[in-house]
Amino acid sequence: MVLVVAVYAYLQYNKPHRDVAGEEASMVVQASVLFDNYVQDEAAANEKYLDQVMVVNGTVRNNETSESGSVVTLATSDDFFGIKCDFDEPVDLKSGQKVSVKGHCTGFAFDVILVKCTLQ
Amino acid sequence: MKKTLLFAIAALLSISVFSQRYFTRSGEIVFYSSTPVEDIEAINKTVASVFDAKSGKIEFAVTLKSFVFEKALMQEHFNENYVESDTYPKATLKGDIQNISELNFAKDGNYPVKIAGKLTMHGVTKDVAADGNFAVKGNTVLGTAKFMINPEDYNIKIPSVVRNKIAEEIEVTVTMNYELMKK
Repeated sequence: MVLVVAVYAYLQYNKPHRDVAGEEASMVVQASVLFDNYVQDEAAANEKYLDQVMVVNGTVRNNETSESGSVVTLATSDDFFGIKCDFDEPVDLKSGQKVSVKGHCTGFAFDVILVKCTLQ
Repeated sequence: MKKTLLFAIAALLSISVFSQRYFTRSGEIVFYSSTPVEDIEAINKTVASVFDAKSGKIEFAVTLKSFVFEKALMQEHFNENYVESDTYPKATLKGDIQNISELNFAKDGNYPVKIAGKLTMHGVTKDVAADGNFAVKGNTVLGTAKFMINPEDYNIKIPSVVRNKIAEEIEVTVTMNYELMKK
């Protein structure tokens, strides 16, 4: 019994992180719709999108790439803010390119934020 | 021709007047808790921040679900039990760079900064102050600062069973890679 508890505790302690890339997306949404939803009513948008793994379709506005990954912004109705997609690996995307990005939505901070992104 | 020139000058002037804001969407905040039992670190690389080089107004926005811990279980406890990120997904800091007039953004170099403002987290707003450094280089500013926060000030209760694993005060290290906003 003690052993079972110890093994369970050990497995819990070392359980893996959420596998966003391997998880099936719960929804597909357009970048502009996602952004407008957040701008209009952040709390309601969080009800719908927060913590979801989703696919976002949009157009690349810019890509800041370093050796530690890429931060890609998808264009929206706003001139400056949009959907910020955080990639743990550098990706080769150019502004104007149409993309489908899968990521984990962590909320709204000037931009809508997707982390652990992969290209679809 | 003259009109075009005037228009060009006017356009240039308006750029120099209005492009005073610096922004980053890939700033970094690290939480660090150190106790004799365990050191715990969480990193968030998706912090957004903007400041106005004229007025000194500065703002940060952080989504709490973007913090990454070494252990998935710690990340889960942080989100579900402590910051309750489903209910309070975002933390913000709104304040002022109090010595903004001492900074010269036209001249590269290191400038000490004093920042004071209101930090909102877990539904609680508190005054915070931090000393930091702005390293100006061309159109970029690397802002760094370090300060301590006490989770209990933000009504975050640490259960007694893990009390000896989580420090009373959490060290917050802020690193912001600002660029002049081209809007």
